[in-house]
Amino acid sequence: MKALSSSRCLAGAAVLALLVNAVVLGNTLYNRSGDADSQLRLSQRELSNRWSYFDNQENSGLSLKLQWTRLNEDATRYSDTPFSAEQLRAAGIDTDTPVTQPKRLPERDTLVVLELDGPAHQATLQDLQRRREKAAAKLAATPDDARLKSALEEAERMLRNSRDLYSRLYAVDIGLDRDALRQRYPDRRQYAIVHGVLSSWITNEKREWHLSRITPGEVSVPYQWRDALSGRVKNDDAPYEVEITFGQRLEPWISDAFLP
Amino acid sequence: MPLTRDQAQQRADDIQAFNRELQRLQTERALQLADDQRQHLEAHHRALLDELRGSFDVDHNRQTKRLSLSMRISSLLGALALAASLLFFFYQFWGLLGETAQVSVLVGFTFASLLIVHLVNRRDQSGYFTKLAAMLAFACFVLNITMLGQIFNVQPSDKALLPWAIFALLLAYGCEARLLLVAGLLCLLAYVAARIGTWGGGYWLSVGERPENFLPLALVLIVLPQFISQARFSGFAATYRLVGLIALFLPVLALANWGTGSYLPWDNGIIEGSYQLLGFITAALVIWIGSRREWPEMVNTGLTFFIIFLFTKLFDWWWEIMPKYLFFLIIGLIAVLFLLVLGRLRRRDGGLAR
Repeated sequence: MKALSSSRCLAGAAVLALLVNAVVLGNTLYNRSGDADSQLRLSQRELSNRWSYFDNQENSGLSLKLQWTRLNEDATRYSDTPFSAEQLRAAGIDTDTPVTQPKRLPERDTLVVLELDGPAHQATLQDLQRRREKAAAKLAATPDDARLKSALEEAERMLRNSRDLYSRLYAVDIGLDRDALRQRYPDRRQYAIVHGVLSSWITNEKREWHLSRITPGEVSVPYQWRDALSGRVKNDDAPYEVEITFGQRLEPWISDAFLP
Repeated sequence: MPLTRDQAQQRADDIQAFNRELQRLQTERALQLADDQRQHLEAHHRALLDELRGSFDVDHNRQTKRLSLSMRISSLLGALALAASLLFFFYQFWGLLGETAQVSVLVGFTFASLLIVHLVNRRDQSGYFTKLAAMLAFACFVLNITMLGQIFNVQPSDKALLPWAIFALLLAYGCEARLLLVAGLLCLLAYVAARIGTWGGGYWLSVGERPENFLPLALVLIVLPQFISQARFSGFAATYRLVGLIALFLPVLALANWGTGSYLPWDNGIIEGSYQLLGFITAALVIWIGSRREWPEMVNTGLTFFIIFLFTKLFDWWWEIMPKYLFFLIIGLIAVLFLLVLGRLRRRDGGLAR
């Protein structure tokens, strides 16, 4: 009786393993079937492993992390910029209930629109250009002021980095209705709709929600590009571009790589 | 013939205890058995122990009992070490394989490990090697699903917890492995709590932000052995109760100190006070039920959390306002009071038994 029961349980476990693997692989095939939801050509600025402090010698795989940011009210880059009440309502968050006590709220799942090298990035560059010109004008009025000189160098550094180094990927909108978001952002080579997670905190008795992460936040590099990319990801002087495709389930994969 | 291994082991222990006491009685000349009575008794016990060893692999003396405990510890450590080895082995080499090979290796490992469990189970009388193989099979399955998710950049989801739970429970019942039962129940608790959280609009990974999500299934696990008999599986009923109690008390303890994590729309102070009171009452009830039903895991768990609730309360009240030596002196005196009360209960129970 014991042996029979054990065999049945093991057979059940085998059938379960088969079913689950079939579901996972089936979902992957579905995700990669048909027309892609979006396709972005990202550079080492938007997709890198550069900021990983733990270089794991025992992991032969390679994943690249999406680097994104948000546009603040004063046109600066700030990934914790809170969303507007209208955007939060579209994400299914109640903004009318007043904050009566500092109750911690669970994170919320949402859809996020990522914009590549679009109006948000241009606004950042224009703002930094203005700041640089302002700093230059102040220094021209008082050329011997060391602080103003330092301020101009900093303004130039920020402009240079934003233009050449920092990510051009901005999270510009959120919501739960995928079709509505796609109607608002129809360019599938500039706007990707992905999953994200919103977190909240209380500032000045007001609850603010910000985007804490994109999920999945990393993309596994397929075997055929692994060697080439792993040599470049830690090297600032070795640029690369990668085509990321987002499928039916908004799950990404690397569909091409461009290694000059 | 006993129905379960627990009953068989209890009978073997009783026989050993009986023989030891008989020896003492004969030495003290309190009881003398005739030669034919002693021989008949020894022959009966020998035959019975042989039968119990053959059917249930019981420990027939203290030496084998100690060895069994060592084997259980070795089995656990071996399972954990082999699972970790498997994980790091895959990480070391997966980057050298294409996607098709990666999927084949992952799925192949899962089915191969199940086959190993089946083959080992057919030959393993003690069950220790079977349990080790079963733990490894569970690790293979978890790795299988996790790595597929990484390879294909699948959206992380709590839905993976349910098949893990079912897989672990199937292996637990197939191999009578309590550790796998614990693993399965923990996965199930996490899944149900995450689902309840998502129904409320939360992200599944924020399951810890609302400890109350764990309470419904915790209560179910505590009472489940009363409705679905676990008599055929040694220690399973106690395991259900233990896991259920920990899943009940930990959220109550968390909310007794952190009212902001509650669904209740009250002031945080009221929430914390209510959960503190609930913690004390529940712990006392659990101790009472455990002592009535002779379930030591309930008594011990209830007592442990009663003491934790008490000491956290005393800390809240007195740590800031009292000199430290006085605080610890009072804690010590409370512990002594507990000892006196429990000792008195023990003596009273012994008197009732007489």
